[in-house]
Amino acid sequence: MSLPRGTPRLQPARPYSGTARDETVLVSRVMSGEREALGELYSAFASTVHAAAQRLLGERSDAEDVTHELFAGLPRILAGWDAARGSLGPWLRRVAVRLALMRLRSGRRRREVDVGAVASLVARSDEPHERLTMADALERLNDEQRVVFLLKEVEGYSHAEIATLLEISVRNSEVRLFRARQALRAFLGSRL
Amino acid sequence: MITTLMSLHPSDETLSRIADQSETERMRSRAGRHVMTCARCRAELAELAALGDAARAMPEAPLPPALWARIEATDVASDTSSSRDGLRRLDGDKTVARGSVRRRALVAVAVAATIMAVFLLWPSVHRSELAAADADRLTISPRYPRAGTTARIRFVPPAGARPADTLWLEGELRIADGDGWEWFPVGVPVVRDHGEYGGLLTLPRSALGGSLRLVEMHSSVANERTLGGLVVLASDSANGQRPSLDALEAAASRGVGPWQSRDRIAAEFARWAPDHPMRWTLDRASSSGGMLDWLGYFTSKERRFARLTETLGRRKSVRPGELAGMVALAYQIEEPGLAAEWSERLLREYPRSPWSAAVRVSEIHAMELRSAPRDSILALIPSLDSLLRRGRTIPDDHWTAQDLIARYEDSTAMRRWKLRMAAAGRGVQGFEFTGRQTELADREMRDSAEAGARHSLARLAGAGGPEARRTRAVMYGQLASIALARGEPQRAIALTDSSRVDSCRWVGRDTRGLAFLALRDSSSARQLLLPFAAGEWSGATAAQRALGLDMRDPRVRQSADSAARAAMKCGR
Repeated sequence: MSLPRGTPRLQPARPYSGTARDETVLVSRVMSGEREALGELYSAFASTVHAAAQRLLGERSDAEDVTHELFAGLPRILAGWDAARGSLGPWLRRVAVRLALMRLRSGRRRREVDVGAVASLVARSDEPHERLTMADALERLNDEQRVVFLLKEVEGYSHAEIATLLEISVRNSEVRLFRARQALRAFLGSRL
Repeated sequence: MITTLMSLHPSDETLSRIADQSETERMRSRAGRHVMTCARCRAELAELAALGDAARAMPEAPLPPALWARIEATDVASDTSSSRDGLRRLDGDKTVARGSVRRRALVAVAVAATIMAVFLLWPSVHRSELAAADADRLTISPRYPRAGTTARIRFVPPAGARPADTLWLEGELRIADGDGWEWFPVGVPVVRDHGEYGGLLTLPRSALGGSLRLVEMHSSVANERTLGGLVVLASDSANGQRPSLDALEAAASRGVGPWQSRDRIAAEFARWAPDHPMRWTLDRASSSGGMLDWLGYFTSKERRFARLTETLGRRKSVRPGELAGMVALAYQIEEPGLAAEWSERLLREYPRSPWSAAVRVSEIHAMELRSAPRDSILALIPSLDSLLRRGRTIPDDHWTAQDLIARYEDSTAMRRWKLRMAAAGRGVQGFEFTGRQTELADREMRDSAEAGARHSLARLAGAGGPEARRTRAVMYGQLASIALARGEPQRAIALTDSSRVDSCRWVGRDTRGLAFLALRDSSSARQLLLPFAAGEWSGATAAQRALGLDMRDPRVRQSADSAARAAMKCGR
């Protein structure tokens, strides 16, 4: 699967049509080691993969690592894709979610905090009820609550799916979602 | 006070579950049907939906420009590290997780000192400045007032904000009551005076502490705005220099409210009782997340728990609040076995403490959440019953306690519990059309509920603000219901007049309507009761029967629907 050194760098900007047939062909090309095909997939799906990871992990560098892990391992990962079970985009997004959850569980997160981030946190606190955004509020949730809230509300998983992913009971998933909503409402005050 | 209102509406937890259901699913449950006809609950659901909308509308973070180059620089899925890390199978999907830390490790080494400094400073800088900013805006003087004295409240609104001239500081303060405690309702005006706001808060005798909020009240029921949170901690020292431990525990145990209050209470613990387990239960940092893994180990809740186990294990006497804190902390680190050990100690050493009953309720509820075998839950029920009987205090989470009694105990135990709740002013549940009259047919229940409502109204004397107004309406509605059950419709009408019960509320409306009906004033009755006849909620049929409505007639159905919609819009 190794690519020859010195392969010209690609600008991953080609449009991706997204039909099932195209997807199957593209996947075969990636699995056979065509870097150009990988670039096409990157153009089409890297944003959504990165966004899902960033929301769950809350850190740019962690999200970058997950996106890197996914695309660098894509030729192998794609062996698990079954065109009959759905299109590629949502499947990759689900893989990204799983990688992010693995990262959360393993405690490999970076939690990098730069000076700018600290400054903005402190600045926001001057008018907490007026300035807090949803992103700020999510940042303040603990991992358990944030993950369940995002999986349910943004990624569209059912409680049963969340329970399986997180190895918890359905009831526990419901309770975590309830607590997350309560906390978010408290954080956001009258903004919604 | 909030819990009293819950007697009429599904709990927040139930509402959250309903929010995830389809309309069809909602119609299958009583709570779901209630929501379809209740303006307040629908507003709550709309808020929950808005949270999801806001999360989905969050802008996606842009892709780091160098990421593609980084992927390109990797020998994609070919190098030996892939094989080394191996394929990982996760929940049915094959995914490859490959470590990608080499380059970042070098960077980390280069900036380690800087990052470490930020890491180490960040929590304290962040929290203390957050607390300070809000604390400067809404303050109490003296900082730790003594019980029975009056403290000065000051509020400086944020620049550019123009709140109403009168704001309300409201919430509940815990007061000591022998072996137990009670919650005292607060509702004091905080009035504008030359750009700032001021007010006076008189702490009841035996006051301990609590978390209050400053609200702006609008004429509309649905549009109250919270402007800030205030943690009140009473002092038991002669010079008022420090809060009492009871006050700290009281503030931590309930109603910590917005995150600012939670952080502030945690900061007070850190200052005055750094080794108290409750301090760590308030810590919002992830138990598994340190800034770096190894640093996280030393700051994790697991580590704290282990250290506290050693410290408290050596002490001859441990406060019930500390033991309760250990139980809570054990649950937070997912150690139910250790939680059980600490709760057994709490129950053995302090069987009359309110903490014991509260912990047992939470413990059984937690077991249910973990789908524990029914037998192991049943084994704890006798102790729950005993604690609830002996304790002077009703647990804060009394609706969960009631649910547990309903699930695991007999009707005698349930009646005993309901009588006690009614006597404590916790309200009789439901509308006239959904079983309230059945409950009030019991004379002892009527007497207990009346005593409870009067006790609550007496405690609310002098209190203002939206929460006090709501609770008063609920209590007058309850007294009216009792009057109606006693065959005194005139009295029921007087108890629900506009000076006592806001005509825009659903509380008391059903009782007032039935009272008019008893007096053969069908026009007034119809106006009040028609909204209850709409939809398919559990009380609709009873309301239709009371008014003699034929819902097969489309005009009647339409009329009821219009009345319900008008009632929902009232006050908005």
